[in-house]
This record gives sequence, structure tokens and C-alpha cells, in this order.
Amino acid sequence: MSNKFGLIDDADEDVARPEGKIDLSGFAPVQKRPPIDFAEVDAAAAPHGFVSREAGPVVDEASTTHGRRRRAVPAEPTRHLAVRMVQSQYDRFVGYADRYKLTYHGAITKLLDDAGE
Amino acid sequence: MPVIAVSNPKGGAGKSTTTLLLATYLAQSGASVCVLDADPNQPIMDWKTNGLSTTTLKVIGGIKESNLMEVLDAQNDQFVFIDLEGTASVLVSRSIAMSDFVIIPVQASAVDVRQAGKAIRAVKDEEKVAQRSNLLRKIPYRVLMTRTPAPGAPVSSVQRQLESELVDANVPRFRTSLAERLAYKAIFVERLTLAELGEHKVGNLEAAYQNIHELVEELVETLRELNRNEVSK
Repeated sequence: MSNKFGLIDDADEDVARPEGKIDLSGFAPVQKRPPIDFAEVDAAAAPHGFVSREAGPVVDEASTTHGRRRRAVPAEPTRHLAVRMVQSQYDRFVGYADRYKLTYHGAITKLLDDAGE
Repeated sequence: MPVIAVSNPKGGAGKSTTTLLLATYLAQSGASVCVLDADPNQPIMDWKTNGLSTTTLKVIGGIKESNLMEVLDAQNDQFVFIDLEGTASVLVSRSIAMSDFVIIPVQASAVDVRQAGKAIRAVKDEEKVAQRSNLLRKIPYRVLMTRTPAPGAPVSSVQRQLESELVDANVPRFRTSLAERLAYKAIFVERLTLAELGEHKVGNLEAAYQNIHELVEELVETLRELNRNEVSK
């Protein structure tokens, strides 16, 4: 008998090993899941503290922001808008701004324009 | 048939131990079983790749937010367990959303129970989200008391209090608890299944075996019942 970890503990009564078999009939293989909208799932879980803990891909700031316009000085008064969103939405939005080389407020303007708002 | 997530955002609640014990016992009973190791520490992947167990259990590591659905879709085993990390993360909530059943292991401690409450609320909210596209979709769950005293040993007042609160709050739980057993630690030390620990004298192995047998029986019966209810709708 090996006891290399000193884990001997026979404080409680010996019990016979169960001989009964588990009936597993009727359990078919796992089926393919119906598609799930992860943005909705993430949004529902976020208020309970379920946020992304995975590091995003390392982004080369110089190459991705190359050509993005510098913010022009606006001609009208400005207001501040802070938006908390789930990681997947954030990634989509930043990816969109990068793709069109837009500032974030420029991207919002373009989205609104494109939506006819 | 079922995808079973094992989740509690509190670390050390016994998620990996519960997963490994249930999965290996089912595999030994003749089921085809797969564990998706979604814990960044990869405890079950380590158990499988660095151990000498001859179990038929399949383990897939490196589960991330981005590949969860793809990996899950590729499985065709009878039972798929997802062993989740001990934190509240997107990977955890997505796994819950894709599961047929959630096991929430809880130790008799205030911190464990509060964190379990977080998991329960997440399960309920994910169920609501899923019901937007499928009204009949349910994500049933059961709390599993872990590291409880062996049968016959004194039960702490904290555990009694917790059990009574679970009853008052109508939180569904397993009748069977996972007792504190040296054999359950030894399976990770030796990287063997409970049945393969025969050579190693680790506590009362027979009692540990009996405990798991009862838990697996209850799990299978619960899943069967949930399935019957779903079919009858």
C-alpha cells in the first residue's frame, strides 16, 4: 500500500463499494446547439459582474490608427457622453471606427447618417 | 444529451473536483463523456495529459469566449461537462447560456453562498434571454453542497443555517452532498480516477466511491426527469 502523501484517514466506517450499475439508457449524444446571440447573453450577464477576462489581441496602435483623422475643433458647444458596453460591442465599434479611419464621435455621426437619423 | 456547466464564481468551491468525479464515474459506467476545461488553470487538462489514467473520458482544453460554440458544436458525446473558472466572466455566462443543466457547487461558507447567488441570478437572466427566441427554453440548475462532513460526523451550524436558507429561498439542490474526502484530493495528486486509486491508501475509498455513486445516480435521475418534463410540454 502506498502512502506517499500521508493521506491515510480511516476515521469513518468502512462502506462496501456499490455494485449497482447506473442506468444510462436514453441519453443520446449531445445535439448541435441552436445559434445564440452572444451580445444579448453578454448584456444580460454584465450587471451581475460577468465581464470579459480575456486579453484582447495585441494591437499595433501605430498601424491601426495610421491615417485616422485628428479631432477637429468643433464649432458648437460640446457635451460629454460616457458609454459602458459589453466587450463584443466595444470591439465592433472600435473596429468600425478603425476601418473608416474615423474618430469615435465621427463614427457615431457616420452611423447616424447612414441610418438616416 | 446534456451539456452540463459546473459553475460558481467563487474559486475553490469544488467545481473541478465535482466535474472530474462525475465525468470519470459516468465514463466508467459506460457513457461517452467529454469535459471542456474552461478554467484558465486547466486542472482537468493537466490531469488528463500528465496522468496515467486509462479512462475513456475525453478532455478538451483551451476553451475561450471565441471558440466555445465551435468546440461545443463539434461534440457528440452523451455527456459534455464544462468546468468553468472561479470568476464571473463572459466565458462563464456564455457557457451557462449554452447548457442544458448547471451544477453550482457551494461550500458551507457565506462567501461561497453569496457568489453562488450571483451564478443563480446569471442562470435566470440567461434563461430569460434564451426564451426570447425559444419560449420553452429552460436552464435548470441545482446547488451541490461540497466538502460537507462525512456521514455521521457533526454538521456545523453554518451548514445547517445555509441548508435552511436554501430551503426558504426555494433554491433547488441535490439531496446528495459531496463530502470532504481525502480521496477527492488524491485523484488530482495521482492523476487517476477514483476507481484507479485502489493501490493508494487514501482515506476511506469505499465511502468516497459510495458518495459519488449516489451523486451520479441523482444527477442521472434529475436529468431524466427534466427531459421527461420537457418532452411532455
